[in-house]
Amino acid sequence: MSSQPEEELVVYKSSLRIPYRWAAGLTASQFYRRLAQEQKLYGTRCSKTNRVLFPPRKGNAQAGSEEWVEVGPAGTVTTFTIVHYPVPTLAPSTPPIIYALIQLDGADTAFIHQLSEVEIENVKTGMRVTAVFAEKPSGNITDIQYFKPL
Amino acid sequence: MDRVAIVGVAQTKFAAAKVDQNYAEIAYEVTQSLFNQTGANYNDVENIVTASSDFWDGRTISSMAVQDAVGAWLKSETKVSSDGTLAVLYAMMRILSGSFGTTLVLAHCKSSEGDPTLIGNAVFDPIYQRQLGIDLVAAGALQARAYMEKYNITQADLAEVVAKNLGNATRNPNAQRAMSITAQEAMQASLVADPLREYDIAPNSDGACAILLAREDLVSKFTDKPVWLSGVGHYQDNYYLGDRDLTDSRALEKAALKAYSMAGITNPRKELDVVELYDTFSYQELLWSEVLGLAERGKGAELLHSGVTKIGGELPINPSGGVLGAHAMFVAGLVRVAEAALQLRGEAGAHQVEGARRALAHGTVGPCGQTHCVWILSKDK
Repeated sequence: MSSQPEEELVVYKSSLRIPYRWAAGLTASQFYRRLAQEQKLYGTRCSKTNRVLFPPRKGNAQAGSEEWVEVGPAGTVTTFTIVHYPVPTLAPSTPPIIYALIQLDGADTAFIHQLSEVEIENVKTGMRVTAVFAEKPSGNITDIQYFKPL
Repeated sequence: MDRVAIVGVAQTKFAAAKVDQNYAEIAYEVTQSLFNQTGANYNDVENIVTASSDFWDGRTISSMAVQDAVGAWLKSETKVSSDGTLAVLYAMMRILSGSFGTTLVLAHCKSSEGDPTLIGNAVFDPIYQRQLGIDLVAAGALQARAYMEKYNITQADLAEVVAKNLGNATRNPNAQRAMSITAQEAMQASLVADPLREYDIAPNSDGACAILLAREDLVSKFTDKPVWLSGVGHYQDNYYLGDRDLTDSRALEKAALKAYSMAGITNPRKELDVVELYDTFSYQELLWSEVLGLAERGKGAELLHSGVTKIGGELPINPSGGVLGAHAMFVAGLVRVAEAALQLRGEAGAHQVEGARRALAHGTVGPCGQTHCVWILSKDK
């Protein structure tokens, strides 16, 4: 192996900037459209298992067809973490940032979102929270800005 | 059915940044090491299965840059963009299909060249999750708290895992994070993603690992110490974390039961001699050991405190230091297989488990263990 000093070694610094256009599909598109128009959250009930999935998923012949069911906007924190490092894709990216799994009232699954308007020492598993919606919806998950204590 | 054996294993030393070697050069290092050990040459390798990640390499079709280094020229090379344990599964299938007598398995990653937070975030789907900025560390922390609160596992319990594994890593010349650290000291480390502290989280590593598999009739050409593949199971869990019970793992349980059944194991706690499992986080060693049937649910910490899982205990877990000692994405599972093989060959050096005849090697990928693969390796055919 080389004994060359590190400062003589070439490290090429670059980045890949590739735009994508991810199709959300019919089900997620309908979810985001109704969220924007009604400021309400909908999950899908599976006709076979009777479970309400949130976020909503498309049904199929094997798993059963889907039926829209209003859920939330309140729910319960099932677990959480307080992140103490910057999250580069967020603005502002500065910590602390609180992530939680939240089970919305009426849903059988939990989903990830952020908590805010709460002191980090007051965040607890089992706490009741409710969605704060964005003023200007843009058709993605940040149309829910965050969850706050109920 | 034909039997397949591991006839050679090689790994680089793992480091935070190997700036004096490019991807192909770390692949070349382990390939040459494998050839030196086994007497094999490029002609003896009938085909190659690699494991690596386009996102980590920053290259479309990441295996292309290492194909020359492993001698894939005018041969069949194929890649799994997932953990190295799955590359071993694919490699074994290629031999059992009757198409090939030998398969070289290579995994490589240079964590230092990408951005772990951004690449970890890109694991999550862009429709419902990615814009929240969550990454694999934050996801692990969600699982850690769910597991700890359900079973009253404490930070001190996690710190004991850290102390054991980083201590074990001091005996492993290839480990990156090797340190004699007390549980008390580990608990003083800074909080990264509550409840996880610095040493609860595997470091990001550069390195590579390669193993050579051979069909039964070809084994003696390469080694007089073959390690037999005697059981394997591979299952997936739900993608969305909120669809799963994060305090359990149905995928790992099914993978383990399948592997045990193939290998004729009914009591893994008694019948295994050494375990190398994929602990991206300290709590995962406890959780995975429970799901593997080595302790009752919620009793992984008790198993740890009893001393059973330390080197010299009845069933050492991660004598190499495990993934907490070095974590190159997709390589770390292949290293678990390689370490298990070294144990059965009696070549594990200062972290050797005396008299090991049967070993478990585990790999996982995806947030909070979405995919699991369990291997049982045996010294005896």
